[in-house]
Amino acid sequence: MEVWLQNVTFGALVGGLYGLAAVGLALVFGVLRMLNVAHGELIMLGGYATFWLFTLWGLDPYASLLVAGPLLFAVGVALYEGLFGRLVRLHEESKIQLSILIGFGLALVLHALAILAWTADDRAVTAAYAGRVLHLGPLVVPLTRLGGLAVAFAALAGLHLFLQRTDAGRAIRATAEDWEAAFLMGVPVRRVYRMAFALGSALAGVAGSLVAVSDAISPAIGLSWTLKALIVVVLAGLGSIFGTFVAGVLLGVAESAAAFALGGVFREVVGLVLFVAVLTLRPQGLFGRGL
Amino acid sequence: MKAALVAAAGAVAVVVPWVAGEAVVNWGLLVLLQVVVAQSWNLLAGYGGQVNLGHAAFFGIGALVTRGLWMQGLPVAAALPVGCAAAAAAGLLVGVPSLRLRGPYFAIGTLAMAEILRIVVATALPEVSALPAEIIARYHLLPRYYLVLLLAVVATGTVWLVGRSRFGMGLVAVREDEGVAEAVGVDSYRHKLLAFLLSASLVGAAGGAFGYYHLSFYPQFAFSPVWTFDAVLMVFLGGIGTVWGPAVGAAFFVLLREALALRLTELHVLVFGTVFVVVVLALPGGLVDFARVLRFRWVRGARPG
Amino acid sequence: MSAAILELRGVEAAHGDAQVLWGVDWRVRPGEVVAVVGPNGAGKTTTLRVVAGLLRPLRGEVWWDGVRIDGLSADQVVERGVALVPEGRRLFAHMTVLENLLLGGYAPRARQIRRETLREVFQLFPILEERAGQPAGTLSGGQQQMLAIARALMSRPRLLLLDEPSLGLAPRVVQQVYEVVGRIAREGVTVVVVEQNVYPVLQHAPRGYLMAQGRVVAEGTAEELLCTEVVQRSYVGG
Repeated sequence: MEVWLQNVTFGALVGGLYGLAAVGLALVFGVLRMLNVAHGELIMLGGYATFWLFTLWGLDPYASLLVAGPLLFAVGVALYEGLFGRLVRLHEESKIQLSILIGFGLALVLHALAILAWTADDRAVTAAYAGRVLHLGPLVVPLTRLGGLAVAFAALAGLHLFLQRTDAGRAIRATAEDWEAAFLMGVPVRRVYRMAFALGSALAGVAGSLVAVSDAISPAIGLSWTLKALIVVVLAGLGSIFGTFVAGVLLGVAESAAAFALGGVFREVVGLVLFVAVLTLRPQGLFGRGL
Repeated sequence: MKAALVAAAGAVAVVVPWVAGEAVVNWGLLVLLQVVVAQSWNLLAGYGGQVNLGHAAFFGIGALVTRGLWMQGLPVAAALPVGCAAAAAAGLLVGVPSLRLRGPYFAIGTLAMAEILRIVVATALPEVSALPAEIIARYHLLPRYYLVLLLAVVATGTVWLVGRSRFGMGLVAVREDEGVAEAVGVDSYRHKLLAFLLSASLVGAAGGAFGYYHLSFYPQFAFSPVWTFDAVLMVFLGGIGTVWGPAVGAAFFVLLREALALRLTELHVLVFGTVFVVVVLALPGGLVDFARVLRFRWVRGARPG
Repeated sequence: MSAAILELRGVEAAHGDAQVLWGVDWRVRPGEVVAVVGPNGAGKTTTLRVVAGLLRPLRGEVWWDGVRIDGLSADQVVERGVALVPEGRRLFAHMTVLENLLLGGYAPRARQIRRETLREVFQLFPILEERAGQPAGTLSGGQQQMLAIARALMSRPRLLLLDEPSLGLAPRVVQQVYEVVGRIAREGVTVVVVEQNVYPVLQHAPRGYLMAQGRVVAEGTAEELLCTEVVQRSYVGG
């Protein structure tokens, strides 16, 4: 019983990170109606930022969040202006299709650049507190994973407040719902698109930082994180940050449970199976208004 | 002009094994194999408008079934068609539910399904599939080369035929505007499904040829998404929705990869990724179109005034 | 005729490949209330979209308050004091009444005095203050139309464009809506109202244009338009 609980707890902790990774992707899709399949590569870049800040200057990984986030925000702005921003005038079907293709090419380029710059080796950030655990009753909780969950939660809470309470946030929500009507309100829609894309990238950067602390990073992690984020976005549906977070946790728990009950290989498969199942049976997701 | 080029290329392809060394023949085989993989993807994506990111799954099924049967003693002339049929059957299994999904969801849905298959294969068959000594003793490259050449001709011919057929016209109509196509009486689902099955069969045959050709490989490698992504690159590079685009793209792709890989392994990916993005944004017609655009500009520039 | 504050000269526009407007000419004086009527597909909505900056014309010019605005984007047009209440209202149904209103005042010029504008708007539409915290999608049809108009007012427009404000509303509610429009006009705002027929606007718009097939086919007082309409309809056969 205890082992099972330990297992589920671990899954939930990992899942919080999945949720954070997914929200960035969902934000871009909800506002711009584009699927950035290079999202995982942005997470990878965030991880490398934290790794190098730690390795070269000893910056604590949780502090480097404050660098990785803004850095990836800037990268997002550049990618929007250079690539994705050129697609905004297209009509829906072509826009999504082309964004997938562009994201695909971008992912290849970023992946290759990462290998050329930093080799394909695994990297890990081993801070002083890396191995420490917290004892919560019968459970043993790794400190870094708990920290990851806390940061993810804080980031998403911050995003929620931004979207609900500020003018810019309201403009983003309005643009996501009906961009023409938002335009008629005087909302500078192109700027909103750029902001949403950059925010999504920044969130990816933060997620990447957390990955660097609790897991190893390498150029290859991009694709698997994109898939994870995609699975969570489809599972959750669009429209609720909290829903996406919960869906991420659910995925984490499902993965741990599957690995525990059925064997290691099912960890990856269960997510993909859930993904296909939700796509075909309940396309609007568990919590959302539908993609 | 074009016919002459095609004839010349065809002649070269047939004659190569008699004049060139084994390395060149090997290289040629790989190019022709990629032509089949690219053309089959082009059929569904370029003409049908459906971006299938799980293409590798059918390649893998064709490879596993063909190789398995062939190593059990079945002559390859029988094993390959069975592998092809297995891929087609899988195409039916995957296509029927997934083609009901709209564009991007179809893309990521097929990707997910292919990944599931790859992971299952990696777990069930983790060991290398190596040809036993007696088969290696009888191994000849030439028949394999001509087999793949035949498949490349069949694949290109199929795309050419489809492009000129009523089925092809219906397919393109569905690609352009499904609603309008339905309104004029085209059963869009059936067209898409048939294109899907054709695509799966062709790439399954390619997989079968791969299973017949390769000395040893990890079974899961035949299911790797790299096969799909390379096909996407080649098709776009050469010109999606055209007959010769994928062939040009495949030749270009393999050539450049060999050339660049000598310097830095990842450089070719970097180049291809960049060119791909440029093509998608600026040159939707690919290399095939670029040549035409270039010639058009040159011709116009040559006129006085 | 005194100087027009809104002027359209030979405006031609298309939806994709299909040309919809074939040379539209409007002249509206400051403070006027002008009706634009005509059957479905006449190009009335398209013309409003061109004025509002959602659609760039193929040819022709749009002049507002001495400045050419046909090349500006919609948000820039709003900043210059032009607000469109679109057909079907296009409210942000998942956002609250208050949020919709706050968004209406997003443009920089309006945002500075947004708090004051909000107070004025609530005075004009007390029902909206009552339901400020409710999602906009839960309001009744008439209340939604009021909210749409109020939202447009938040940008402190000097030109208010209304696209079929009576659509889907009961006659009594339509009357209420037009009472509000009348009050807005009395404040000095120039108003252009598009409707399929001229009845609802009769009392408030002394003058109007009749459009058909992408052109202005008639101009006159409301009564004159009414007669022309009747003739047109009987000519075409209903």
